[in-house]
Amino acid sequence: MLHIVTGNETRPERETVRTLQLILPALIPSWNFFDVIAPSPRIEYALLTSAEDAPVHWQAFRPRPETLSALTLLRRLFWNPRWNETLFLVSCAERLSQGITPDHSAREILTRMKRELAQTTRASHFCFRLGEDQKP
Amino acid sequence: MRDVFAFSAYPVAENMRALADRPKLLLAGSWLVITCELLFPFSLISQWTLIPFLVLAASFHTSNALFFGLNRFVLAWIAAYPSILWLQARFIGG
Repeated sequence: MLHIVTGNETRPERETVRTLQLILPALIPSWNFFDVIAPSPRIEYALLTSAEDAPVHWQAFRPRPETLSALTLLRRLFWNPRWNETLFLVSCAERLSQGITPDHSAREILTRMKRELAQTTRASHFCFRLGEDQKP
Repeated sequence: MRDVFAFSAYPVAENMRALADRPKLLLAGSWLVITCELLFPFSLISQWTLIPFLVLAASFHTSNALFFGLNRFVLAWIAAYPSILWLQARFIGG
């Protein structure tokens, strides 16, 4: 009897391998907490007066402070939603730069930028780009 | 560790990036963490060895929160410590 191996028949094997790939790193400790340590994309924005304006003055979105007081560090142990959201934006920027669910990542970034810039500026338009922190 | 402090998105303030220029300190910190993790199973020998290790572990997670803003992990990990104490008392004792 002729037995033809099709793509469908190998799918369960692939799913098993994929499942193991996901589960094993969770069960077996690894020193590699990060897959790779590289400069994260930095979100920069430019304010515009109209949609046709060319962006000129790019600014970092949510730049980290130069210093933090001991009291602020202590408070942030218990309440730190803004920083957690900033880390989420970093994840979105990384996914956007890698082409992983780019529509979702761009939407999440835009939603938060729009909300924040509406409170801090009077510009009618803005655009954003992904820059990169330079490795020293 | 040097790369994490030098250019990753995690340090909560710019002045913390200066730690990237303290390689000996970072090396000592890294080996302290690795040594503690390797020795942790032996801490289960007695409650009096386990408790200091749990204090060290809590310090590690607190430092992650202070340096990198990863505060969501701190209370979650510490909340698990009673179960480790129970496990030690239930199966090993002493």
